[in-house]
Amino acid sequence: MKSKTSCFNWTIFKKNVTHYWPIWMLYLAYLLMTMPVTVWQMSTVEYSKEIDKLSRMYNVMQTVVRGEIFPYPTFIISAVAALAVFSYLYSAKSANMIHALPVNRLELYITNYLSGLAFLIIPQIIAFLATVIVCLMNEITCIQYLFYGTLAQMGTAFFAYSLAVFVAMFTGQTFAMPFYFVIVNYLYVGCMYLVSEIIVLLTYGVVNAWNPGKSCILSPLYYLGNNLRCETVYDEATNTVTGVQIHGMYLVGIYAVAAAVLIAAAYQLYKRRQIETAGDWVSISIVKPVFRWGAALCGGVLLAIAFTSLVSSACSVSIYPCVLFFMAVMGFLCFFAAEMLLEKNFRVFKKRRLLEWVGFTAAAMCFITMFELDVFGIEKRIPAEDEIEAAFVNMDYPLQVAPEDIPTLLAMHEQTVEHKKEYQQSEKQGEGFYYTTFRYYLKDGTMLERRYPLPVAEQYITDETTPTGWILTLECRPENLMQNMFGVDYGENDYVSGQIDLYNEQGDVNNYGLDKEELSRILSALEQDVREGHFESGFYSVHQGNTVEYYNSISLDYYSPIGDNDNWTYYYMYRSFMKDEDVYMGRAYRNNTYLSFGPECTNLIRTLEELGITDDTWHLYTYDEYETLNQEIMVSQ
Amino acid sequence: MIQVNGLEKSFDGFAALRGVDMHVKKGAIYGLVGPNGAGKSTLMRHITGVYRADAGEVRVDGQVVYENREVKARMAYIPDDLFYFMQADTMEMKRFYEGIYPDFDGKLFYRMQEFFPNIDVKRNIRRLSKGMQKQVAFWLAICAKPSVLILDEPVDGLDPVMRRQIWSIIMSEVAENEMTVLVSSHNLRELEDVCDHVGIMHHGKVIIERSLSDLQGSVSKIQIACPNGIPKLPENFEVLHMSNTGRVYTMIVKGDPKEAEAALAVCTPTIVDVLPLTLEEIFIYEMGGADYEVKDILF
Repeated sequence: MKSKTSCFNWTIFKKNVTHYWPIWMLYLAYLLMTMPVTVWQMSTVEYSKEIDKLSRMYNVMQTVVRGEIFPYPTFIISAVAALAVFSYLYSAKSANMIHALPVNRLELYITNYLSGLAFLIIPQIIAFLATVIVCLMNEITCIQYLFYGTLAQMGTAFFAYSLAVFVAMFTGQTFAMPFYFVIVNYLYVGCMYLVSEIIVLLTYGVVNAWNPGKSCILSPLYYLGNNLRCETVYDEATNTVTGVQIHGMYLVGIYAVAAAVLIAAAYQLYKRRQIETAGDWVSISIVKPVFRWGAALCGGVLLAIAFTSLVSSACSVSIYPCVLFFMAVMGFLCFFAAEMLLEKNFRVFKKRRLLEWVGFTAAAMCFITMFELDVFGIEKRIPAEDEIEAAFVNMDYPLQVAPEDIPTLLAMHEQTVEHKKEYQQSEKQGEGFYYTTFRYYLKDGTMLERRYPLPVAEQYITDETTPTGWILTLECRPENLMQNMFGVDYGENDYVSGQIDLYNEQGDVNNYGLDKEELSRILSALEQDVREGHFESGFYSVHQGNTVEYYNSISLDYYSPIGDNDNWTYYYMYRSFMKDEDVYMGRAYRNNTYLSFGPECTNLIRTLEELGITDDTWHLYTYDEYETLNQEIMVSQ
Repeated sequence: MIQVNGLEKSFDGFAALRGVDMHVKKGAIYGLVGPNGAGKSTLMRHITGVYRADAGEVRVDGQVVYENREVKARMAYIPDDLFYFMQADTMEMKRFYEGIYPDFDGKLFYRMQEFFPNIDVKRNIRRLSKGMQKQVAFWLAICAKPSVLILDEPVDGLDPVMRRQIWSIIMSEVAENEMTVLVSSHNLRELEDVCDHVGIMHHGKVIIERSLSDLQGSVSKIQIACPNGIPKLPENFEVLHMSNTGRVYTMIVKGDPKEAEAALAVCTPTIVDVLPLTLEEIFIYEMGGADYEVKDILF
């Protein structure tokens, strides 16, 4: 017989374990498949035995731990377990029966909570032990990683399950609970995305108003999915695997602390819960307006964005009134759909609710109008020179603006903002314009990016005082062109191979491989051509109408001390470069550049002739010449 | 045994209970009657500790019921809509109740099996008929050895033989163990046979609460035929209802039946007959006084 002061009821625990066995059995089967079975499979595959024993061991362990800490299955099973053990709250019959029994809510809560947690933790322990045995049988001794992985998995399960229980206390509806669980896991990211999308829609130049950062910890599944990972550790000197590292273990610790808070909060909700709310979408009365307004705001904004994008792509309409209209209509639909769910009734169009909707719409309109009027100064925000760590501009290709040019860049940016109407007009009319990005990496660790449709009519291109003209001048600078062609630290490149396509008069192609000597001379000639202005920005040349390029192209392979040194990678991952993080496998990364050139590149053409690469048989053809040649061949055939 | 004081409960602004006061003595069989929506089931869910009251309190044996394991361990509740765990059979439910109710009598369970010969204890309860499910509920509730048994529409769905069987078990428990029974039912004829106390609920309040004999002694049906037409009653008698067929008048009168008979003798009636009212008649006429009368409908 149970003690009078006990907070745990064995009878209910046994009932849960025996009734909901498919849940923990399914999870156990999944874990066994992803852990011991995977180890066994990988250990018995023939090719694995050929590679170094240590590398094999770490590779196997990395695969298993990666699968083990993958949070999505744990979150799904956690939601199912919480739903099962607290399912009695979701039907009036079961809720009445259980609460009429001689057990109090604390006892019910603790027993059901622990039952559900056992559904997760016990299979994890079994799978861990089974994996240890399989590992040892296959001479995989680095089982400490498996232990850390299991700890991470248990921490994730503890948090995910506690969150699911907390969510379960908010509703009295079986179908609502998983829905809420998904929402809670992505609420922060989703809301930020929606606000960001509204800003992007309404604010001139803003491409991305929000960069997911550490605050995304408020969206647990999203954050764990991106930050809890397992990787093998490489020794760059020997290029061998030397261990396994689990990233994001501290996150599991943070979430475990949060889980403890959630357990207490969930109990408080349960204690205050009215049993008669079984079957309700929201069982906590003060949350009902939050549900209604939240549904209207999030649903309204999401649908308004979708419909505005659809309409604006189909016909030329002003974005702002379009967003306002769809926000009002979609907000109305979402508001009353939420009310219908709350009331379990279609007749919800009552005066009080209609007034509430009017209030909501007014608030939403104000919210949207604030962005349109740039109340927060987002549109006019141009960083001060001393705020900037690095500045980039990207018209035809991304280039880093030299520190001495930053004041001019800021002036050009300001001019672009001032000419908003003029530039938007050319974009709307589909006249010559080119989307150009200003990207600033700021000293506070954030990034500011703006994208504008810069007009490319003749008067803008030729005038260096306009943003278009100035940026094109920057693009034509030899240093920038060299970085675009051979990477940001092109002076350090170690060229290993190269190839040039040559054609004869019969249209045959010769993929000529370049040796070290040829490579060296061709590179010197290329650099000479760049410095003499023979390689100009593609766009600039096109606009000048004098671009004649060869059908032939040169491909070069090289290694860089910083791995992937491509200027696009540098542009997007500037921070990683500054932290000296290897972008792709360090020195092991093989870069490749593919160059087009034209008759203007006299140094290169002369070098090719001197090296005997082009001769009487194998020629360079411009596109026009190649087309003519092809036509002649076809006629002769 | 059961004391309900000033109990109030609202659901989304709708007041289901409006200050209910109710008292059930130990060993009594208390019939709770009332029209649909009067708040009987809501009241019972408060008495069993399921619902939390907005105001007022429910005490059983002097102790507050809500969240009180010790008190609830001495109570068993059979609701109108029963709940059994999915895929559970009677034996499994028995084991569950055995673990939950400290006084559950496992031997009594097997002894009582003869009263329920049609129940296959190994069969999923949810696959049994409604009546059979109710039998299982009684079986388990009695084995829990409660001092208070709360029944909401208890014999609904049971055949006449099983009704008798169930009531006889309950009556013997009352007689032997002084079990207190609170029963809500619309079957007033049946309640009349078993209840010793009656409470009538209307609009979320208990409007009348008395022993059945008191109740029957305070209202009577008088059939009278006077040579001078309509008989005249003294002013201290309240006529709840009067109808006539020719010279024969039928009156429902509030007051002592003997005094009424004596008073009517003054009218020198040709016929006078004073009859006790059935519980159903009392209910109908009392509810008529509370604006819940049977309407004459003309099509």
